[in-house]
Amino acid sequence: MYLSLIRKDYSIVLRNNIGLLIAQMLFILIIVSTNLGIMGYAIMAVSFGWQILMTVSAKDKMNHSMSLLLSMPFQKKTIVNARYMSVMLGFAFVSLFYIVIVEITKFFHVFLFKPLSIEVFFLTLCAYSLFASVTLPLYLKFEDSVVRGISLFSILGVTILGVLIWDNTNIRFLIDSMTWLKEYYAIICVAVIFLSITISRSVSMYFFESMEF
Amino acid sequence: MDYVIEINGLEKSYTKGSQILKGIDFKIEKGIVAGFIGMNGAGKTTTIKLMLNLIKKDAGEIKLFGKDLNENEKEIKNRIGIVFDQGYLYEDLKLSDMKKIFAGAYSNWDEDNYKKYITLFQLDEKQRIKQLSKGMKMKFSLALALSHHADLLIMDEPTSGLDPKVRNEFIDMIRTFMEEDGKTVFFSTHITTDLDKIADRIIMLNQGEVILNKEKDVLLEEHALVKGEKQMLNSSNRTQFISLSERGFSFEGLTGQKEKLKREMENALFEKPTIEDVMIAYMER
Amino acid sequence: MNIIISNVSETPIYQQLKNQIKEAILTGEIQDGELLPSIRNLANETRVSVLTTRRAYDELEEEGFIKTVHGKGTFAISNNLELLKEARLRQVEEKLLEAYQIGKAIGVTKDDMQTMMNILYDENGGS
Repeated sequence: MYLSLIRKDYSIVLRNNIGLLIAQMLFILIIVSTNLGIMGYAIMAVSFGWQILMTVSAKDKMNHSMSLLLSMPFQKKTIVNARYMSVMLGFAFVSLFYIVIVEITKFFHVFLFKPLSIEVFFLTLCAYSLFASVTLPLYLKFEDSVVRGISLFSILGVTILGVLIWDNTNIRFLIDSMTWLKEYYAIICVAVIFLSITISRSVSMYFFESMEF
Repeated sequence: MDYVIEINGLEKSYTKGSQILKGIDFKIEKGIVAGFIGMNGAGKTTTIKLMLNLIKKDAGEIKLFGKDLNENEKEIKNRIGIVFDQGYLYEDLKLSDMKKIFAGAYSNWDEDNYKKYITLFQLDEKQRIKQLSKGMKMKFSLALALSHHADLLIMDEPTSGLDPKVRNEFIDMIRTFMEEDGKTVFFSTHITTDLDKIADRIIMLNQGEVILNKEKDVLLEEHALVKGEKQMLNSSNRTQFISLSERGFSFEGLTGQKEKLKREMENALFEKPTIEDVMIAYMER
Repeated sequence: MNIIISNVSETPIYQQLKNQIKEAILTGEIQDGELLPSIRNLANETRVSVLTTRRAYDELEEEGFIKTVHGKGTFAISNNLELLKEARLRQVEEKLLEAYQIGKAIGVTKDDMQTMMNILYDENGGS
């Protein structure tokens, strides 16, 4: 059951012009990597995740296809879970894609892309999960334009908040003093991922159960 | 008598104040073709959506195969085949991708059966769904709905927008489906000629209420289309018409009291009505 | 068995169906114990609703012309044909008595009655 739903999500994403999708990812990767190094990988991952959520949600809503899915023996729980799996699988694909790109470019003696370290992998996974946890429930409930609006405002909000904190507190000192953070980052990341996905899943189920199709 | 569908006191309103379904009741026997008719907006699609738990009921009870829908949803849906008006398919997917979703959903998916329908309907699995014509889309939906040995086929306006030839093929498919014992079909339509051909029971919905629920043959035998000269009408026999239209010197009307009226109006012409005649008469009432 | 259902006939469809099956049994076209088509099959063949076909079968069973064995099918019963014929004869007698009474009330003579009977037989080609 999960398999057929995940396969459906990827058929939708890939049938929707796979060439363009890869070109888009490469473009983001190259532009960001030249300026911000490893951040290219993180931004590519998040934009791919966004792409999956956006495309799949749009096609589910278009032509009432979600009604058809729900008329089949798929439970609401299964549909929601499969969506999380599709998104998380996206991260695996992006990471694999990045590793392959690094190896290929290395072969041609181009050292634009930094190799993926465990540390970066975990931190990106953490950020990716947080992003998915926020946007996935929103995409279940709202139209794309609404989600874009909410995302834009929250990104803006977080940035402003960050700047304010940076200006008004001695945060640099605080971070430097937290050496333990560096040692336990993996555990902390896993905990954050687990917590955010769990909360997000309950929110998604709450939205999904209350909706009519 | 085994009932496949049992609906009791079903109510639904989307916004407060405007009730789409005002407490409807009906039962569908196992092994029959039931036609669900009514004007657009009568509540047919709402009823079907409630039967599939796509929307929430305000009150009432829905039992399918003798079991409560909410408590046995997955098991019940595994035994239902569905065809929606617009197909509700993923337009961008290839037929083969769409099939995989179905094959993964139903526990008794029959690939051979599916292949048989694909050949029969001359469908190309490599095509994308959006490339199919309306008729082809409907045939594909039917192929998907019939390939998991469903016991109950629920269809919402399956024949609307189809040309007569495709509609006939469609009716034939339903006949073939019904050949196996214990299969039941429930479909909503406003094209009543389809029902004249295959329905066993007619349920008519008007403004959220069931106004007729009868065996088709009984319905058509009880009612008669009466034609005659205007002077035959009088205040007592007028009341026996469900609908009556007068033009010039003649009248035409539909009655539900055929025998009584026949004795009173010996010279009038009594004809067997079609389902459409009956439907229109009740709607006009 | 050849069943023809008329859509324009005044007789209700289930009655037409019933009469024709009954006749086939009475004339011996359907033998005693012969398997009849299933309700669904008969309905498909005659393009009559299953519910109507079921009603015809139910009534035939009540009247003792057929018997449904669960899981096996529906069979014709004609070993009590004599009984059935007797019952029908009694029906004929009753109707004739009624005809006699009505006739007498309006002064129809014995001769008139016999002439009427002769005409009926002649018109329908029977003897």
